Amino acid sequence: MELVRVSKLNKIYPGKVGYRALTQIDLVIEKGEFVGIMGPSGSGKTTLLNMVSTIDRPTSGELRIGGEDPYALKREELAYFRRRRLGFVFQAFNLLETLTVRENIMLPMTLDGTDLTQMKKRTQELAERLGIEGILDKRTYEISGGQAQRTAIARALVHGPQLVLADEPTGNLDSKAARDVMELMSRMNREEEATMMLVTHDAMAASYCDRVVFIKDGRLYSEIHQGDNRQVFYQKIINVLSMLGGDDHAIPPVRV
Amino acid sequence: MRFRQFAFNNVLRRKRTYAAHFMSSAFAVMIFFIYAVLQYHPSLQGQLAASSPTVSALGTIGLKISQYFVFVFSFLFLLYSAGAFLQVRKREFGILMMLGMSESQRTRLVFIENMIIGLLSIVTGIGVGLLFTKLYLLLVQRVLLLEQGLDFYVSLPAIGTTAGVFFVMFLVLAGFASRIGRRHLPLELIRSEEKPREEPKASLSLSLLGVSLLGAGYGLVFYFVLGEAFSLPVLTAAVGFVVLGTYFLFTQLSVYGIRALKRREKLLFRQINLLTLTDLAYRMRDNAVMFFMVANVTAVAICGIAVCLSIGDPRLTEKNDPYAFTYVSEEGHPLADSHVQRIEGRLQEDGIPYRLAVVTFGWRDRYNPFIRLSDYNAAALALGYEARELAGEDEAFVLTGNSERSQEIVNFPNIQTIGQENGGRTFRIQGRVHDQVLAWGADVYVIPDEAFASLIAELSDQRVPSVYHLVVIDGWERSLDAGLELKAEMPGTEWEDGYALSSLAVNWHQDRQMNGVLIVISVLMGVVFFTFAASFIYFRLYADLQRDEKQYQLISKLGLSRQELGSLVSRQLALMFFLPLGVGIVHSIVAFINMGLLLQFSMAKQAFMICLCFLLLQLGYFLLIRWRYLRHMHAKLI
Repeated sequence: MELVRVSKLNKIYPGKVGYRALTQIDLVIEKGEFVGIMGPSGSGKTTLLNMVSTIDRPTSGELRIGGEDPYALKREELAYFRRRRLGFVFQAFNLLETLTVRENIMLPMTLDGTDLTQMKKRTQELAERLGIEGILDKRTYEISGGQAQRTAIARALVHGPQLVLADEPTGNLDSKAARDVMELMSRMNREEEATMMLVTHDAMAASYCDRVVFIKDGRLYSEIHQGDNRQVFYQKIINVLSMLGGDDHAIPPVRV
Repeated sequence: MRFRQFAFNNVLRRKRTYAAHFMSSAFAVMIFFIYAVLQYHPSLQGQLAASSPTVSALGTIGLKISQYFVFVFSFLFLLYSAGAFLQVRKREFGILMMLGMSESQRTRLVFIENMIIGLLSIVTGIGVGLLFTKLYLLLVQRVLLLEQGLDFYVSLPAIGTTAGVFFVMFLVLAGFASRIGRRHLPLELIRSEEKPREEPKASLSLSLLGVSLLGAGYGLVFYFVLGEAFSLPVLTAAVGFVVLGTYFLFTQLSVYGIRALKRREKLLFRQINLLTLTDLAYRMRDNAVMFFMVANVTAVAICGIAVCLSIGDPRLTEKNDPYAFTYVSEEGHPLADSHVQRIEGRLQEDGIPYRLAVVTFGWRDRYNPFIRLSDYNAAALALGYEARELAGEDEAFVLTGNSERSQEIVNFPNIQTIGQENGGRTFRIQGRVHDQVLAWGADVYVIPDEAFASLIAELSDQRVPSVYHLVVIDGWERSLDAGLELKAEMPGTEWEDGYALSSLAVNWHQDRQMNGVLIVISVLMGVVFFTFAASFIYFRLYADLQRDEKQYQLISKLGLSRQELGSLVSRQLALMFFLPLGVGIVHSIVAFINMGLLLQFSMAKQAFMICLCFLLLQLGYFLLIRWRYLRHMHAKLI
């Protein structure tokens, strides 16, 4: 069953010289799938993610999430839509510093007015599975980057969203923390049956996906699927990246 | 965590961010509360009213008006600061919207946050106000010369009014604030910090318009005064032009001026000038509205205080009334004898020694009276001056009046005719006497007793002579109680009732109280305006702090010595602190010059004092902030 359908999506940033960030993008994500989006810097992968996240509007084209067009929704309905169906993980974590870890995780449910006991139960459960139950009452400036990203993952998953969107979630982490985070995400993808869309530079991170879609200069370039072996998949990703001829810095040193 | 808890946490865990906003809110509440306490204090009302209805009316109206002022400015100021905070928090709102916060929740969040701060500052403001009640009541008691003293009291109506008024204000404020910055895509909000800032632009025509508006405004004020075009539209237009001109001055002309400076490469590429000037352009544009407000607030405050102080400076020493009591009645007034007896009796009761002199004024015309030589001598002796003599029947001398004395007119006609045109008598004037024997504004002619009697008889169809009973008391301040009591018994006026009593002690007391009321009002107002102006600056600094930090970090990596950083920061801060104040002072100086011309009364002394006070205060504040700011930056830059 398909969850996300992107068809003929275009995005042009207006300005003195208009900038064409995306051209005629078509993409389908199945329910429960873990899809990675890769490409060199400036290829438009984050722009695509932002369109799907409903936090930016395409210039033309269509987007369907669960059969619904989020851009046709009224502002209020769009807020409900984001709050109930989507979850976000960012490179910069984007946790609110005025809140504790626990409160940050609870935030989406708070906004939705969920029952308090249910909120607590769900938070506790997720925290245990993500290994952050020890830091629940700390403030965001007291925890490490890896812990912050786990908190962000917990926040993205706590309300059982249909689609989780992650923008370079490993970008600010060291390799150990990055691997932990990716393992967690992939586990959550299986256990919580959350569909995930991941934008990354990092071939290691991308190798946890079921499928990786490559974008170059705002157009779809190719896509590859994971077989049985993650190591092999990683090598395949590296190969495509080198074929993309993108900037070398986009390929991290091998760290499998 | 419920939604309301979330809002609470947002405020309570961000104490330092909200400190300035909270403190100025609490401060506004406190000042308003002080006014309210004074207004409702029972014994204050009693004592001011006892001294004179004018003073008590002035006190009440003055306190009311300043309360309104404080209220209106608090509202504008707090609205601005609430808005400034929301600007800083754009990114946070972006994240929240992405997590699915709806528009109405956003509105509710901002509303609740503002109400939390509002309620806290109401409680704090009233609490601190209550704590210091006794202190400022003591001060007011000193300034207003109240004998009975003002008891500490918890004024329920004052608390009620303050809490009620500010509750409504914060409600409206929260409503306004929650509407700021709606309808943005979350992405724009999240990225608002990274967005490169546009080069500030200014148009030459708008800059010129600003200058000509300022010129026109000032010109109109002078036209109003010198051309005697006393019409409200002219004055309104003048004020409007100046305000608008100030706006363009800051938003357009300043940016234009900096760009012109930047074009001079020799100047631009010399040491830290490059940094100062390039940053200045941005800073000017970002702060233009704040500068504009501070300049106008300062001008209003300085003018208001100077006017208060000028009215309140009655030149007490120049009153020149040597008599503790002056009782005047028409000759043969039925009540006169009993009144004089009563006055003497009352003074004896208090055991106050006194000397009484009676002087009868004959009226040549309304201003220049003539008196008997013997009356003159009686009064002169009572006051300790030497007695005078006149050699002949047609001789006289002039007792210089108070107003003439100050102008030192020495010329006078040698021959003076007193009486009707076809009759009357002519006197040879022997000279002028400058002794302060009578408290009369104009010259008084002193003539021999016989001549006086015949002139009075001749002028009997004219105005009835006035009899002055003049009481001299050494240390007249003692006679205040007697004076108040006697005044209450004899409230008549000379023109309506044919008699009048005036007491020097009572008049002096009234003047001092009036002065005191005006001082209390102007000091409180000054404090409020100054706090607001200072907080405006603080908010701007706070809002820019993170960006500045980044910039200085970047520059220090390129190599910037501590000293250079110090002078860079000093230049930038000095601009923020003194530019708007300077413009405000220039505005007020123009206003002072014109008020001086209009009223024929120089306010230069008061104006200078106030401007100096403001400058010194601002300098202190500048040094404090500079110290804190540099310390913060040094810590960040290692």
